[in-house]
Amino acid sequence: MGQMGYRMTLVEAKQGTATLDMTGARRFAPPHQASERHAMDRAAIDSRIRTLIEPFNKKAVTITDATTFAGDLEFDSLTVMDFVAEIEDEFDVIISMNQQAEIENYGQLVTAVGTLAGDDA
Amino acid sequence: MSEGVNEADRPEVLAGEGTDLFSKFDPVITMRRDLLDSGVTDPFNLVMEKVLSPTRAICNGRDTILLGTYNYMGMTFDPDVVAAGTQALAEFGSGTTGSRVLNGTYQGHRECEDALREFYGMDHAMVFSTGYQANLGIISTMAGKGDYIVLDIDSHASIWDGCALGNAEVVPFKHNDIEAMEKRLRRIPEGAGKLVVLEGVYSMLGDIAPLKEMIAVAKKYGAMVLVDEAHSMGFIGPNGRGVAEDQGVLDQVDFVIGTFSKSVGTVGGFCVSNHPKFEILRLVCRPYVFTASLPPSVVATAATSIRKLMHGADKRARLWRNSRTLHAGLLEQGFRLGTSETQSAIVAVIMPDLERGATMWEALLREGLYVNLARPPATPANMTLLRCSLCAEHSEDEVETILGMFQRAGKAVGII
Repeated sequence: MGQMGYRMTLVEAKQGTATLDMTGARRFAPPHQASERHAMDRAAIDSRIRTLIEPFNKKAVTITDATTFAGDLEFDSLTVMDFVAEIEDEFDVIISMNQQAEIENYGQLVTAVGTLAGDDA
Repeated sequence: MSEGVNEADRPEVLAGEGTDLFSKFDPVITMRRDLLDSGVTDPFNLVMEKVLSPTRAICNGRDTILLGTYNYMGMTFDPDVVAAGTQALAEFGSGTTGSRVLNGTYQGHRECEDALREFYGMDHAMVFSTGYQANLGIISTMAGKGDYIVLDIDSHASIWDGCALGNAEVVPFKHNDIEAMEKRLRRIPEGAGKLVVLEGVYSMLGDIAPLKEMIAVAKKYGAMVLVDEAHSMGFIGPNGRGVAEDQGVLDQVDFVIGTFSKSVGTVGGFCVSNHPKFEILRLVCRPYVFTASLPPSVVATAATSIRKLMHGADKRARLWRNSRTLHAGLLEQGFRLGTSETQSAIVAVIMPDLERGATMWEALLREGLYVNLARPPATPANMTLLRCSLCAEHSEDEVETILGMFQRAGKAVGII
C-alpha cells in the first residue's frame, strides 16, 4: 500500500518540523516557517485548547506549557479519549494513538495541533 | 510482604522497589494485595478440580454451576466431538510439532478449514492456534506503517495488540458511535490504507454493534472491514454466522475473525474471507507462520463441532431462552445490567466497586455459582462487572437456581 511513498515522506519529515504523521507530504512543514504568522497561530491554537481543557481540568490546575496530562492533570485513559475527541473535532484533525504517545505536556499538544492543522489554518 | 499495618504517611516499601524491571507492576501488586488482605478468595486463581459437564464443575470441593465459561453451545462434552478428538489423538498423535507452513498442516487442519468455509459460506478460511493470534495476525499484517486502523475504544485486547504489532496509525472512536467513526474516517489523508475493526458482540457488557450502519459508513470511505464475531458464532444470525449475518451485511465484511474457544468448545482461532488474494496471508502473517499448529485432536473436535453447529437450532433456542430468563430475572431483582434488554448470551451485572464486586463474587462461589469477575482496566468506564455467560445446556431449573443464588448473595452483600 504505497510503502515507498511513506518512507520518502519520513525522510523529509526528519529534516523539517518533527511530525509523527508519515502519510503525506502535505503535512510536512520546513523549519523556516516558524515566522511571526506561525507564532500568532500558536497563540490562537493555545487559546482554543485552553477553552476546551477547562471542563477536564477538575482541580483547576494552572496550565503552562510544562503541565503534564497524566501527572499534573491526572487524566485517565477515558478522559484522554474524550479530551482528544474534542480537540480533533475543534481543529478537524486526527491525533492518532501513536501521536498521542509522544505528547506528554500541554506545550507539546499545542505544537502538535499546530502542525496537524497547519495547512488548513 | 508486610505483616504490619500500612500507614498512610509511611507507605510500605515493596521488596525490590525502584531497583528492577518489576517496579512498574507495583500498583497492581498493591491493588491485588489490598484485595486479598480484605479476606476474599482470590478471584483470579480458581481451580476446577473436576469438570462434570458444560455447566457443572467441582471447585474447592463444591459442586458448582458454571455461568462464566463462554461455552455457549455446550459442545465440550458432545459425544461426537469427544469421539472425533479421541480418534484423531490415537491416529495422528498428540501434536504436530510444527508450523502450518512447514510440517504442521495435517488432513485435520484442512478439514477444519473446509468446515469453516461451509459454515460461513465464504471462499477462504485460515486457522490460527488461538483467537488472540487470529486478531494479532490479521490486523498487524493487513495494516502496516502509514495505514490507518479505525477501531472501537472498547475493542478486545487481541485487537489492540494487533494494532501495536503492525505500526499502523491507530485511531479509536467512542464505543458504537457511528458519527464519531465517520468523522475519523473522513479526516484520514487521501490515499492512505484504511482498516475498520469492529466486534459483533462486545464481551464486557454483552451489547451488539450497529454493524449495518457502521459498515455502510466504512465502505463509503473505501475502508476494508474486519469484524470479530467471537461471541456470536453458532447462535446469532439465521445460520449462526454472527451479528453481521443477522443484520444482513456479512457479504460486505472483508474479514470475519472467530474463535474455537467459545461456541465451538475447544481452542483455536480463525479468519474467513472472500478476498481473492487472501491465501497469500499464509506466507506473510507472522503469528500464523512462527508458531506451532493446533494438535490433531483439537482440529478434529473443532471441525466436528462446527459442522454440528450448522444444525443447532434447538440449542440456539434454549440458549436464547436461558439468556432472556436470566436477564429479566436479574433486572427484576434490582441489579444494574450492562444492557437494558437481552442482546447476546452475556449478561453483565454492574457492581458498585471492585471491593463489593469481589465480595459478591465470593458469596456466589459459596452458593455454588461461578461467574467471571471483570475489573479495570479490562472493563469499559472502569466498571467492575460480574459477567455471566449462558449455555444452551443450562436447564430451566438451573437458571431459576442461579437467580435464587444472585438474590441471596446480592442481599447479603447489600447490592440489592
